[in-house]
Amino acid sequence: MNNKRLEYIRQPRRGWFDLALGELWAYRDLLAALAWRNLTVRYKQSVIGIAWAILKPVLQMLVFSVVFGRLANLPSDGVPYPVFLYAGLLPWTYFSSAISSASGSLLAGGNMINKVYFPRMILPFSYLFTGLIDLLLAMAVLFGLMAWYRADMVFGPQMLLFPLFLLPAIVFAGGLSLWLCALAVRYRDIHHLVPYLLQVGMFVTPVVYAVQLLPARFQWILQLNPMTGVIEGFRWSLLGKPVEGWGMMGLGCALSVALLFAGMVYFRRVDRTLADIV
Amino acid sequence: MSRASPPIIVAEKLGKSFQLGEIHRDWAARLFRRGAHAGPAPLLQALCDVDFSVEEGEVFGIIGANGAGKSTLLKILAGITDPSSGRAVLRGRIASLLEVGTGFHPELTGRENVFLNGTILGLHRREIREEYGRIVEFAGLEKFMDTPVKRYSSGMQVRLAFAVAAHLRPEILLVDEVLAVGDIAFQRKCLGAMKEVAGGGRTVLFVSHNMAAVSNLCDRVLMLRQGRVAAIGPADEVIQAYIHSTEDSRALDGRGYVSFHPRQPVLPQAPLLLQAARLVDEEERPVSSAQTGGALRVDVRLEGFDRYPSAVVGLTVRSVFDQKIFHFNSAMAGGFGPVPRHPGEKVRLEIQALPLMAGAYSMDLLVFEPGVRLIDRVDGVLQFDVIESDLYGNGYRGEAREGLIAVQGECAIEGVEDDP
Repeated sequence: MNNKRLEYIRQPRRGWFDLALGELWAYRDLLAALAWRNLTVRYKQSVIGIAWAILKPVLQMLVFSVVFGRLANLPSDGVPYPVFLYAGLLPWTYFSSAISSASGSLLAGGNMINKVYFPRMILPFSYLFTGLIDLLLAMAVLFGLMAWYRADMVFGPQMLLFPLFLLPAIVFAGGLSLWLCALAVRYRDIHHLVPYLLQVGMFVTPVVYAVQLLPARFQWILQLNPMTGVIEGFRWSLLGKPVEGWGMMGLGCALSVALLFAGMVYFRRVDRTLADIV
Repeated sequence: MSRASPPIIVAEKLGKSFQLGEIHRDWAARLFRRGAHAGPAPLLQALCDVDFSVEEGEVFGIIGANGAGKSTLLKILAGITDPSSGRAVLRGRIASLLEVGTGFHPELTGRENVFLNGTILGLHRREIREEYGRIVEFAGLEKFMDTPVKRYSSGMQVRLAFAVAAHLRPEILLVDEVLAVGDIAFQRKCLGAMKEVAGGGRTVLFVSHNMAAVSNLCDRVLMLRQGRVAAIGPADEVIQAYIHSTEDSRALDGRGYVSFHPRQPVLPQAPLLLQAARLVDEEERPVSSAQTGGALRVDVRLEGFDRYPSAVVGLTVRSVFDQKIFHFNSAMAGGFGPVPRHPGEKVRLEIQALPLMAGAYSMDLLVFEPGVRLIDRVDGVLQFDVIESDLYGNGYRGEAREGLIAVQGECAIEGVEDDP
């Protein structure tokens, strides 16, 4: 029986590309448990509880509809502005809340990191899944809005494709979170920087406006942002809005995959001494 | 005899060094800090060339003074941090209990925390579900499982956390000082559970300051001193060596005083009245031992004691297992009387007819205002041996392992006991 025993070897880690993905898979239940913890803890002792997941994007949608839709009168490709906006706010809210909570996850989880072994990548990753639950709840409002405005709904196979467009959002948020949370261990500056990054990020992503607002020769810059692809994909699959620039957006997705991979490499690097410095 | 199975844990030349000071050395960090020159950071060698092996089913203790590297060693074995050199091989599923309730979230209920804590320790949900009933029963918290953990007492939290860990069914259990909290009954239960774990062919590594627990639980003990292996062997031998080594490391001045500096006050902003102390014999020579039935004379140097005219100086003698054996203070001896007082004073406490059997003991010193407050205290600062004497006048020599207290008495044979 001893031949079949697990064997753990503790020795100085070397090499760059030991990402320990198998271990990540072995701890998948922890990922689920932490994602669930993040969610329940957030809404404990609040009166309306998880309804906040719906209320927050709705309130934001109301404010932005007035400012950008009514006052600034931004075009929205024939779709009623609130519907157009909400379809963009959903993935953006997911992205920004995942980033802002995951970037501080290693510092917040210091006690766990110091006292027990588990693949540390699970900490930031757990927030990627917490946000998905919020997003799915808030989706309900989108369908309500579409019915209210009698938007030209495209009941067709392409509607089933919207979860597919979440993938690049998860990958991009995951990659960026790994970088930010690993850097935040050494540089608390990250903690102050993230809110501003996200604020700027929202305006270089077509959340409140359409890509076509920009002159055609600059649109490719916007399309390199992986979140542009996500939002355009959402609007295409749910609202039937035509999309241009698939090529550039594909490149954006490829970039986010590269960012995730590089993030994992850097994270594992920081991971070596994490318990000593957190 | 050829061993059928190799040792379950083998450590070879394990070493760990920490960088002191600010850490800004990795390449991504340098992007942000161009220009700041990266001089060699000073290193602290927390562990150095640690070799040992543990057989399957052993309960293996790790002892040593604070900062000797015990926790670092355990963290390396648990995989929490990597060694800087050497390697260790562990054959079997590991559970580490370095702090109870790791990952417990105060807002979550007991039930939610059992699942969270279990998955953190490496279990799958399915396994926790199977064990859940037994976990709750072991913790004795059936009524509280739907209450948020923040409303638990610390003892309840420990019970729940230990219950989860005890049901992990690991092949190797790493435990660090978790028994320091919790009431006596539960401590016994935990010790029992650990023994059961060990009895089932499992291996336990146990780090503790509690020599009674170590001696009670462990087969073999490793003593660390400043990151190196100082001794390794049968529990009682190593514990005795440890007790003597702490004595040797104390700084003595020319007059035999053990200094208490540097140290932290017992309470924030409490004055540090106690400066140094020594033991002396009848001829006022500094000693490190006393005799059973003899006198125990302690000189205590104080600073600023005159500012507390109603304060009392006391001593508490403890066994090697840290049990308090007796307490004696200046109020018991009738106080100091109306004498002129000075900022730097020496107080003599003298105990007559010391009722301790031969063995090693330690002493706490304290200054307090009776019934009001503790002013200053130093724990375990004076180590001393009690040497056997012919207390009974017939050559019988008593030892501490037969019982700590030396008593006097009589005996007689009074014929055959009649049937009642």
